[in-house]
Order: sequence, then structure tokens, then C-alpha cells
Amino acid sequence: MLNSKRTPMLEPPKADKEYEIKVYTDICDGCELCVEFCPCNVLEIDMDSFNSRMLHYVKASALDKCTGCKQCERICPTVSIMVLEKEVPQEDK
Amino acid sequence: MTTSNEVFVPDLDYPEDHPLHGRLNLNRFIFCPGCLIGTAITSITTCLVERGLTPKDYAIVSGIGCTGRSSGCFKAPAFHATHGRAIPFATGLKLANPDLEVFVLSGDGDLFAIGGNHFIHACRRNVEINVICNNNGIYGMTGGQCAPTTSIGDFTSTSPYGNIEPPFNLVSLAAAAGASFVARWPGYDTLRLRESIFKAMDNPGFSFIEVLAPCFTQYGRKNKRGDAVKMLEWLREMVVIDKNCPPHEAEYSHENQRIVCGEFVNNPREGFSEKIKKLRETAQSRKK
Repeated sequence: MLNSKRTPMLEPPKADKEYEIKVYTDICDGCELCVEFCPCNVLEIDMDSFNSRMLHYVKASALDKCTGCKQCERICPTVSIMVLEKEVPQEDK
Repeated sequence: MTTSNEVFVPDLDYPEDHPLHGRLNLNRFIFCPGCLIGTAITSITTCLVERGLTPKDYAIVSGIGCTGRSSGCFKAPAFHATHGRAIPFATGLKLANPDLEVFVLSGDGDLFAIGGNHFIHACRRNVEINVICNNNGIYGMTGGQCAPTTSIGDFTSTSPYGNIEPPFNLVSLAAAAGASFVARWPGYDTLRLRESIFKAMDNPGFSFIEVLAPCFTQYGRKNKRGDAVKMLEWLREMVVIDKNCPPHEAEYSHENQRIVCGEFVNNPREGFSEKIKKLRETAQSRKK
């Protein structure tokens, strides 16, 4: 939804943090609101698997694009998706 | 004792590592997938969790309708009141137990069609309750009839040639009746909505928040607005955020493609239960 209107003029700066997307699959309704609201196209609906309520759920297909804006966490009607910061060990030069 | 008619609904709770663990029963989430009533429920619950309130410290009251079913989701003192009488129930709760944080979570058909009279008098008395109204502009659960908040020209099952009645502007109605905190936000903008819920909990008086949650099942199908995602896109194009707008100029019209959102009134004044407390003290001192 957001990326349909404007395209960035410059390449977005590479995030120095890595993020982990945790999906509580039993709670997810598969309403696709997070898929549409994600500005970086990280998420998609997993059409091959079902949860315990026989519904398709969301999965993070392109995790390296995630910038940690937490749009998906805020829009989710059931709070079944959480964005967590992953601790990256710094490399010594 | 169990009777044969009793239906056992097992609890579906969040796992223990989730911040909302033990607050909601997700098997009672009967809303259509993608409906923004869910965001209203979960943003209230996250605000209560962030404040550090346990389920004994708050109570939820709701009326009838789609949003009225939301009181069943809470694992807390929650009341599914009679049609339109959510605010009188909440007033009684607050006056009997002034330390309780009372939330009224109900729809526009419940609060303004049959319960409009109770709403304006609770605003006038400045009772210390937080009213959160999910405005979908239609009677969703009963089959999509024309409501007092349906815009002019919209098609519903009881107005097949277009609605001709002008709708209520809920924000200006609440401000004119004397509410001390009035806000309106679209349901997808939960960051601003949660800030307003915090302000409403701090406000010593009647606070009213209107949440725009369009119904795609009944309203979107009749008016050819598409599914849940397309309706949100349609709502995003109309919403204008204006912070310093007076409440009587906060426009709400689908015709002009303009819905003004923001916080319109914030002037705290003395609440109803404190006045009753003072009255009781003066009456008892006069007896002696």
C-alpha cells in the first residue's frame, strides 16, 4: 500500500541492526493487512500450510529487507506478529 | 453442574512469552478477518498492560452489535449490557467503585441510535468513564441497515436508492454536550490511538474517542468498495489530520472525500464521583 505511491530517490541506508519476525501461527487469521502495510515487501501469506484453526498464516519471506519500522505489529488485529531486535556480535578489525 | 445445552468453548490464550498473555480469549474473536475492531481491542489491552494494571483494576462494558461482542474477549470483569445501555451500566460501576478504570467499548448503532440520550447526559455530568466508539457507519451484525451515522448517498439494505438522511457528527456532538476529552482516529493508526487512550485514562472526566473502522462485509459489498485492504486504502485517502481544528468544524463526509481526525477537546474539569463525594461529606457534617 505504501510502496505503491512513492519510490525512494536514493538507496535506503543499510540497517546496522538485524531483525527477527516472530509469528504466532495459531493466532494469525491470514487477513493480509500486514502484507499490504509493509513498506519493504517482507511478508507474504504462506499458501502451503495451515494452522490449528485451518487458516493460512503469514511468513517472513525476505527478512533481510526488514528495517524494523513495526508497521505490521501495530496494524495486526490480533497482535500475532512481533518484530524483535536480533543481537549481532560485532566483528573485530 | 453441567446441562446438555451448555457449549464448552476452550480458551485460546497467547503463549507465555507474549506481552498480552492472560488478558484475552482469542476463541471469542468472532470478527471478520481484517476488521479493525480487533485493533481497537488489542490497543486498549496493550495500554492497560503498559500502565501495569491487573485485570482486577479495570472493567469493560459493551452494548449490542459487532463491537458489543468484544466484551466476551476480555479475561477481566466485562459486561455485555442491554441494547444502548452500556453507559448507564458503566456509570453505576464507576460510582460504586471510584478506583476502578471503566472502559465502554461499543459501536455507533448502540451508543448513538438507541443510547444517544444516555450518551449526552453522561457527557453533561462528566462521569469519569472512557468511551471508545467503533464507527463503521452501518448496523453490521443485523444485516447492514441504515444507521444514524451512514453518510448521504450510501447504499445499504434499507436504502437501496441511496441514503437521504444527514449523519451525526459524533465529535461535535460530544464536544457540544460537554465531554472533557474528545478525539477521532482511524483504526489503522494505532500509534496515535494509543497516545489518545493514555490521555483519556489520565483525564479526570468523561473522555470520548471515535475509532473509524469501516465494515467491508456489509458496507463495502453494497457500495462496491472492495475487500478489507481496498477499504483501508479508500479510508486513507479521505483522512486529514488537523491538530488545531475546533470540534464543530471537524468534517465527516464521504461525499466531499474529507474526514478530519485529531484531538479536538482537552480541558479537564471536576468529575461526577468527586462531586458526589463532596456532597456526601457536606450532608453528613450538617447532620451533626
